[in-house]
Amino acid sequence: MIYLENIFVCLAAPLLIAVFLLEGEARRFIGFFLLGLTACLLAGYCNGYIEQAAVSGGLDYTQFVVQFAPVCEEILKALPVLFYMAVFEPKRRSIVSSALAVGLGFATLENVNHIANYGAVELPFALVRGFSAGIMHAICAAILGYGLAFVYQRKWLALTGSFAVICAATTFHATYNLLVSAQGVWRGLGYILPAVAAAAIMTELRIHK
Amino acid sequence: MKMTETIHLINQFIQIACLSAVAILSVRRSGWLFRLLAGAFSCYLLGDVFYMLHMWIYGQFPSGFSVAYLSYIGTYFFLITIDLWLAGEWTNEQKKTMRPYRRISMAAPTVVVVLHLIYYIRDGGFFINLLFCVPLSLLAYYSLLILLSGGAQSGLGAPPWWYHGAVLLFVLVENMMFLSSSFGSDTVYTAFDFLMSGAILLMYWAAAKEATA
Repeated sequence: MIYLENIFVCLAAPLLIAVFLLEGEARRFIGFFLLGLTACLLAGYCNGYIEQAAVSGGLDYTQFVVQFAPVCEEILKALPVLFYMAVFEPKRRSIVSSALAVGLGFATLENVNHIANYGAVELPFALVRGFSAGIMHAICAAILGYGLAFVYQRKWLALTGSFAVICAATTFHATYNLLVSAQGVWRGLGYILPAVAAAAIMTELRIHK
Repeated sequence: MKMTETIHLINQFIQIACLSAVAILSVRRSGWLFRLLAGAFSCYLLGDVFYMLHMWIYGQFPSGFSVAYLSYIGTYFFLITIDLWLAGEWTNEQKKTMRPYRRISMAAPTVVVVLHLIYYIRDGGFFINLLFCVPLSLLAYYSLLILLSGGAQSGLGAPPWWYHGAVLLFVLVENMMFLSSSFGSDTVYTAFDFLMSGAILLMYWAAAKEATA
């Protein structure tokens, strides 16, 4: 049995020290990365409870992974960034990098936990995991970051705009889960979806620069 | 596959093609209006893609709560954000001229609530009804308010006539889709679903017209 808390402690301890040693942008990035790890740990607990409730309500595990897990995970990833925006009134660039740091932290703990559970013997397995789920969390974080930074231009829009952005990130996450939970060509499509989306976003950002 | 399901899938394809086109066109244009519209269209597109993939992979559309619904609700919130942004840019003088229209504008959410009430009585599902009813009512209210008050203050700025008219049509078609599904008429539902593609294209065209005005 793998305990997510133990993996979390191993990863978080050196980062916690780094938060106190670093300054400025680097400190903020590591801080939010740490919050991403924490969000993943909390998502593990919340998903456990929701899964029990959903399965006892007659829903199968796959439907839970597709329909409910993304909602919980994306809300937990958005919370630190929303708090940061509400309390510290940061610049737009800081919002994007903070959201990305949370997403990367989340992906790191999830991937480490996955590898610890299913083994790290096969390199293709690790590559597929890293380049699909890892990039997917980064894409969702980018949607959150750029979206929240944009709606934050007008403070009274933060409520409706933030909710809309979280909905978009959640659906992208759920579509990925839906594809990889299937078999055959659908699963293959699911694995390449994040990379294609990442390429599209990067191209678009370069054009608009 | 039944004939109605085939037609529904073709319809979904058309809608996804329209949404992809308008989302890409919106991203390519500059300005806050098109940024938010790109968000709205992308959100609706993601919902449609999820819905259709679920049908293909599991052989049935999602039942009960679905993430696709969250995506559609996200679209409404993007559109509400556009309305609030527009209203927020108005001066105090302009806001004063809005006041008389507030009561009349309440007609739009009233219609939305009544339609959802009929849907609830026929089909149940209190939570999902509430999830859709609240943002659609807000969207209908703000759109009608800005449409009416925009017309009353011509000369104070370009009133976004066409765009808000298109949004109101979108809200109406969305509600009629709900209602027709509860009456079990596949033909009427498909007709409204087809109209939805038209409403989306109209919304983009209206926004582009406003931008060039």
